[in-house]
Order: sequence, then structure tokens, then C-alpha cells
Amino acid sequence: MQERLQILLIVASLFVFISILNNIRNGRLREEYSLIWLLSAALILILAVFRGSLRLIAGLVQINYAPSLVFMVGLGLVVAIQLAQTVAISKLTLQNRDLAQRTAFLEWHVRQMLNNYEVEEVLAAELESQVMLEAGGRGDAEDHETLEIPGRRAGWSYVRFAEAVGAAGEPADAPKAA
Amino acid sequence: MWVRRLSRTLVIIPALNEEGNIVRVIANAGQLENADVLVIDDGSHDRTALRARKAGAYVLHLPFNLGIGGAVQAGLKFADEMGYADAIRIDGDGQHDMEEARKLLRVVRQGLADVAVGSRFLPGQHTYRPPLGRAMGIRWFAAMVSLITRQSAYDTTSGMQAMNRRAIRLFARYYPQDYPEVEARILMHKAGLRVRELAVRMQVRTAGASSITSLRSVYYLFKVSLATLIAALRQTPRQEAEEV
Repeated sequence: MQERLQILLIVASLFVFISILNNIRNGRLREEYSLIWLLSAALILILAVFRGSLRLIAGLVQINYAPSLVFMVGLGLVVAIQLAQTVAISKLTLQNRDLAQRTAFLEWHVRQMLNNYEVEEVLAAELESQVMLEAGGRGDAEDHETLEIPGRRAGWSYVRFAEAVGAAGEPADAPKAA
Repeated sequence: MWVRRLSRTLVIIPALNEEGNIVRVIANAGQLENADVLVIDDGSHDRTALRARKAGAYVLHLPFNLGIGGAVQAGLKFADEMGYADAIRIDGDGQHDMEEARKLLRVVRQGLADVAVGSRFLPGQHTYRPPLGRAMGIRWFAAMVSLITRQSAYDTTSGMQAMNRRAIRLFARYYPQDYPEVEARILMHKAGLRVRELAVRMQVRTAGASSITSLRSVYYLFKVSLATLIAALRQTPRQEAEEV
């Protein structure tokens, strides 16, 4: 094999290595998908550095011009990577479908709940949240507990929510090391 | 807040750009006794969802187009989770007659079959004469399904199907995506479901266009044939159906 081709292959596979590692480091590439890329780069690097191994394998599979083995291996790896990607896409397609069906189902539930809500209650909730916005940060929830809003839903209000939430935004009665 | 619909039927209507038909289809489906109507809007660009909602149907609004299989499965998952006793799928274009739907539901409710398929091509009871090309495709799929399931199948592409909880459970977990009907027949067979075809009349479309155009039909033929063969080779989902 010519020296220039060897150098080119070494530089190229090193470049692939570094960019893959960099992508993993930055969290742009998941380890499970990077594995096949790293293997490919490693294989090409080994073939390029150890010229004897290339000639040996080429002889075993009866390839007269040894460097063409590099391209054959490279092509095989590309096919393998493509297959792995197609498998990944198929999995994503299924998950995507399930998510779409789920959001449609949940949207239906939300609409059902909104329909059950009387108009007065919606207005009351809006008024209540307005009051809370105006009282925001002062922490004098006592005034608003007595606020009479017709049709307000029992059991839950913005005031009770404010009581349950501590200064740091944590529920007051939550276990410490939950 | 809502009770489980233990004795009720869910009418599943997948719809893609059917604003011209959907209100009438819902009104028709509403004639069925003890039934709720669910329209699955498969990412329509028109006002299908809005009109369906105003017509009093439940609407599942898919955020993007999933294809008929994904839409029907959304309906079946709904039926499964909300606890419907049985479900019937009818087309969103008004081809299916409610008198015939009752017939299919009766068979399922009486326990005579797990899935009742509205068939247009039972021997001696042809209710529809398709053009030559389509007729050949229909024959091909019927032959394929008959061979694999070792049972006579005639109309393997019918979208009118009634099914009980066992079948709903099965399809809520797995249902083919693009053109699901043929492959679904193999799944039913492998899951040990009892399938019966009943002769039904279907009407000619009154608005909109069929989803299967002549250009797509070649792709359809190959894709469904391949999917059907793969389904025949796949691991049986029998245990899943038995859990019900």
C-alpha cells in the first residue's frame, strides 16, 4: 500500500474517532449508537497502521490488490451502520405512533373535564388567580381564604395551594429526603 | 368521573379529510343501540374534527397522520382502556350501512365469533363488483389468507369489522400500520380468534376520494403481501389474547 494512502486512512480514522468522542462528550450522540461508529473507525485504523495484517487478510480472501480490502471493509461497515440506523428509526416510528395515540387520548380526557366544568366555575377560577397574582409574594393568604367566590370548587383553591407550598417551592409536608 | 363502559359498544370511525361525509356518518352510527361514536381524526387538513365534535361524537385528534392502521389502533386502545364490551369499525366515508353493522354486532355479542367481518365477496352473495384490477388483488389476498389460515377467506380488505374484548385487547397491543386489514386476519388466526365473514351491502362513496388510488395500488399489493408473509412467520401473540 502506498504511504500516502496509509497516512490518509490513519488521519481520517483518527478524525472520525475524535469527532465521535467529542459528540459523546457533548451529549449529542448516545453511547448505544456510537458503538458501531467507534468499531468502524477502530477497524479502519488497525488495517491502516498494520500493513501486514491487511496483506494477510487480503491473501486469505484472495484479493490481489490489498488496499481494495480497505474499501471493501469500509463499504461493509457503511451497510452495517445503515442497518443499525434503520432498526433505530423503526423503533422510533413505533414509539412515535404510541405517543401520538396517547396524546390524542389525553387530549380527549382534558376536553371531557373542561366540558364538565360549569362556566361560572371557570370564571371563578380566573377571578381567583387574578387575586392571587395581585397578592403575589406578600404571603398574606389569610385575606383570601375568606374571599367569597360563588361556585368555587371545594377541596382545592389557590390559597390552599399557597399554604401547602413552602418558601422554596417544596410541599411543606413532603418527606425531607424523598 | 366516568364509568367504565362495560356493556357498551364503541363505534370506531377513522377519518382523514372527511368533512363532507362525517356528520352524516356520525348521525347514522348514532342509531346503534348502547353505543358511543368515536371519530379518529388522522391529521386532517379540513374541519373533520370540529364537525365531528359538534355532531356529538367523541373525537381523538391525532397530532399528525398515522395511516389507517395507527388511527384504528388509537380507537381500539380507547375501547380497551375505557372498558367497552365490543367495538365496530366503520369507514368515515359513509359506505357502511347501520343495519349491516347491527348484524355483525349481533354475531359478536352472541359469542358466535370474536371478530365479525362485513364481507362483499362471499360465494353467491357478491354485494359489490370491483373493477378488474382490484378484483384480482382481492382474489390474491383472499387466496393468501386462506392458504395461511387454512380457512376460507373471501373479503380480506373489508374495513367493516365488529369485535369483542378479546380482539380489542389483541389489537390494542399490536396492529399493522399502513393497510392493516389483510395482515390483521393472520394475527387473528395466530391468536386463536374465531373470525366469521357475513355478507353485507355497502354503498358507493358520496364525497371525497378513496384512499387507494391506482398509482398506490401496486405498492399496496407488494407491501401487504410482504407484511402478510412476515406476519405468518412471526411469533404467535396467542398468550396475549388469552390473558383477557
